[in-house]
Amino acid sequence: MRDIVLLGLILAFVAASFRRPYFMALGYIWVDFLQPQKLTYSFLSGASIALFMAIGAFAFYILRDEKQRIRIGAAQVLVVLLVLYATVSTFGWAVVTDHAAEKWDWVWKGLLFSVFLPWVLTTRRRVEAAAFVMVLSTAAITISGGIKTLLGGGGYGNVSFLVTSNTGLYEGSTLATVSMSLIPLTLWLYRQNMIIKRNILTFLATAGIIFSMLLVTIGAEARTGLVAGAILTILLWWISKRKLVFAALIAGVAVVAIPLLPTSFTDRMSTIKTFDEDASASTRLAVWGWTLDYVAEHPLGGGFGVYRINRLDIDMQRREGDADNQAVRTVTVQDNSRAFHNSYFEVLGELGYPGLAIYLAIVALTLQAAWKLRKISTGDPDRDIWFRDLGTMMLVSILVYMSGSMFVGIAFQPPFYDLLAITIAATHIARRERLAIRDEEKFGPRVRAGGMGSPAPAKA
Amino acid sequence: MVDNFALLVSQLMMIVVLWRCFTLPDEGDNMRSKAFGPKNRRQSAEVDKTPEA
Repeated sequence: MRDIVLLGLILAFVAASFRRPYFMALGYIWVDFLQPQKLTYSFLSGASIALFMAIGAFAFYILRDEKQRIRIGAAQVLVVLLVLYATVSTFGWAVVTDHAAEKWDWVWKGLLFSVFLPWVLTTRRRVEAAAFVMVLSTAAITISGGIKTLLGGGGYGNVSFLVTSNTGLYEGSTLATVSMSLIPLTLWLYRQNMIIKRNILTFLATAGIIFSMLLVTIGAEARTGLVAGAILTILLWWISKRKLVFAALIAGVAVVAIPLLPTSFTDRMSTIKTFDEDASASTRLAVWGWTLDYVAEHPLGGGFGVYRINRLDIDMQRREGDADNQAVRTVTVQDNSRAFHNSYFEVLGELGYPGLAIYLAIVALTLQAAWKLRKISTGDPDRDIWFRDLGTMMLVSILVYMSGSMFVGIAFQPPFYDLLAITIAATHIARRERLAIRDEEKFGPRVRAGGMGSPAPAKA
Repeated sequence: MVDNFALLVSQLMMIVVLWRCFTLPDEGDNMRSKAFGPKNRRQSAEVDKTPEA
């Protein structure tokens, strides 16, 4: 049954693209986030839907869409460079060749598609539609995980989010980070979107989605989520106009919610303070040390999945005896093939110093693009609100994502690059609107086929 | 059961949004001032106070 419904949705994306060519690109984002091929057990299972949608999106753009003149930006050039470098690394000097090729297969598609997206997202409505697809595809997973958490089914590594899988958004720490980083975008959609008018239903839907994103972060019991959530709270407080009210609200929610949190959650979060006694945290420190040693000898990195060759001696603190007479001794345990659990070390280990330099430059340029968007002016204050609010929320989203990235290897996951694409697309739309407004001031309103003098000629 | 419910709810919301995108006229960018005029006027007064970039 699921196969038929999901196949119906895929066909609907294709059919709608004949009238609205950008729907195929939305379909790709949907597939990239939800991964419907993982949700089925029949004929769609394992199908190359992402490749099909990507080729379709490109074909519809070339054949049927109206083109905008968009100059490729520095961040997009760097993303292409990162893909090229990853390709050379994968087929040149990757150590674990089969795993490297497997990861490269999804990385290049997601990254290159994000570079292409700004050419498709040429109107505000298209940008909003893409943001809606991102949020609602993630919501499918968070609503499922959120309900299971409420029913008492939480636990690190125990929650099944729609399917039992440990890849993409179906991995607990990744889902927690992405959920936290999508909350600002969800708020922006509620406040600024012009597709669905604000009413009590949209308020309830927004509140429900955000609540599910918070619940799933608790349910996943990933410390990444706690860090990302804390950064999100601080940043939302920082940008709020009523700081005292916001602080009081957060304090009130904390007082009510903390006693209701499952013991397993509070126990796991408390290990942040005693990281040297926790196997998982100590292993991370050991992997990061191993990565630094590895790139000292191999500055170009070992290719995707190189962590699989690591053999670690992990020093951990063990407390023995009762509370009054407690002794602490150091024990050494051995482990191997431990993942990086940090995006920056992930890039460093896999693509070496050149890869890390490119990745950090992309992050810096993404933050700069969001910062510039929140200051942008089209010449029409009414129009500026949409861009400035998006810029502010994107800045928060990206900072939350980057904070979460300190504890989970998500450097090549598509959500970050899609956030970049939306920021770039919005910047181009603002520039076109500014030019159109200046033209109108100079020469008067243009008479267009649509009859409304729209500054963005692409089909909405 | 929970999974199917989550899929149904989220994908229905997505279908509603996409249906609106599909059926709204092309010049959607200019619909904003019509649909949300009063809110914009209030917000624009706030924006006017902020310094230009």
